[in-house]
Amino acid sequence: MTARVLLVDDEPNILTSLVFLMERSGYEVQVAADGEEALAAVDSFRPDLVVLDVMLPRLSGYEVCQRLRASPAHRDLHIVMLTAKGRDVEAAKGLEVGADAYVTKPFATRELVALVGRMLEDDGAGQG
Amino acid sequence: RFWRGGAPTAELRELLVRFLGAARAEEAMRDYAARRGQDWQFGAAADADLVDHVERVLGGAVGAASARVAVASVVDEEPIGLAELMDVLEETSQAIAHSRALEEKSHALEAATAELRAANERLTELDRLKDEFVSTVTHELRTPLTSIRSFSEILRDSPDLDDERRQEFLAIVISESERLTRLINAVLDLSKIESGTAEWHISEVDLASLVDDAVASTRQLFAERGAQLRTTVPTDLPQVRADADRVLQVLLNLLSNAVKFCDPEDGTVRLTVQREDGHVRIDVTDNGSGVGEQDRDRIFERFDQGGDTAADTRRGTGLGLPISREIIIRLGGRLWLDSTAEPGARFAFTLPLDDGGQR
Repeated sequence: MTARVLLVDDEPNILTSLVFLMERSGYEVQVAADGEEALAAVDSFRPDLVVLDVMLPRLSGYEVCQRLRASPAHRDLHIVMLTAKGRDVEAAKGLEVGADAYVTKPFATRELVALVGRMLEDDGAGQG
Repeated sequence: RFWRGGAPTAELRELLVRFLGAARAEEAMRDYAARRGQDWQFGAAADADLVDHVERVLGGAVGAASARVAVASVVDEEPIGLAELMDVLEETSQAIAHSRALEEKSHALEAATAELRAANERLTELDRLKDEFVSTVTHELRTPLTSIRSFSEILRDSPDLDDERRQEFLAIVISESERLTRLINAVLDLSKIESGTAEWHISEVDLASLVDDAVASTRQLFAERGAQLRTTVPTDLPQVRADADRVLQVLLNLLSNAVKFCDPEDGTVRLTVQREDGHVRIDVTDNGSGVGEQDRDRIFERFDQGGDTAADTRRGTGLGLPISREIIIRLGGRLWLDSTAEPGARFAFTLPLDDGGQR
């Protein structure tokens, strides 16, 4: 089964690059441009992994992450937080609200692809 | 010597104990005995010399007049005279004045401390704002940089990319580089204006020709959006003392904002110049959906991009309005959002006609 990846960012160009990278890796992809859209997309699209920007309109990435983690339905969902604020406290906060990984912008595309690949692979191993 | 009569030694000693404490009293008595010679001993009655000594010691602690009155109370046949009483009053009032002066000094000190504390708090707040600004600038710079890096790496790692996509990605790299440049320039510009290091070239400025320049510079932009620009400039407009380049910068900023937010189907922007009491007023009005109530204060904040939609190809820096407002303030005018123009948005600014308020 093809893994599903939800990409959340309010920067259209960054979204375009993420879509390209994830589709090239063979995942099924959907996008959202703000926090509320992201929450709705998690329910309708049921992704295996979310790449979530922190600075989002309407609802921040932290809040989205917190809400997702509060719901038992999304226990297995992988969350990779993206942020353009490269501070240690930001990273700590990202992990504190329940993100599995925290990636600083600008990121190395190969590393991001590898990170997402590893997380989704672990799933496959767990199921098999 | 003032004293003629003697006094009971015990009473003199008691006086010393009362005003100096036991230890110092004892010390004063010992000093006196030592001065009188090795074999000398205190008798029950003190002579005038000892009375004199006690008075001097007391005087050092409570003031001469008070000491005299105290000693007089134990000395035989030495009634307190009016003169001594007056001296006591004098000394007391001096002591009170002194204590008042001290109290005032302590108040002044407290006020100075409070002032210092407030100044320190202001500095801390400024420091915090600066930190916040740096953090926001960092965020704003990283965002275009992220696209540039991602697409550069994608182009490197995808030799099989078709030509159309390659062109699309290259165009993104270029436009994000331009955005990064605009941002850096705007941040530098704002920081120069705010720190006072920006250079101002004040001269007599003909607003009508400045408006013509602004119209010429934005013609392309209006054509791209299919919007109209209408200008109204009175023919008898007096010159203003201002920095022509800076005023043009403000006009261009307001016009490019207006064309961005005017009605997408039938966009119209009006630029009017009019003379008012003591100043010239310039209005830039668009026929878009206006600025929402909740955004009215925010739009003048740095990096707020209220209304910029994600689909905008040419995104602003979020610094245009804050910079424009700073410029107009430095030129002695003001710049504000005039909400009477609803449903569209109207930005207005003034430039003073006299020299007052000029820098």
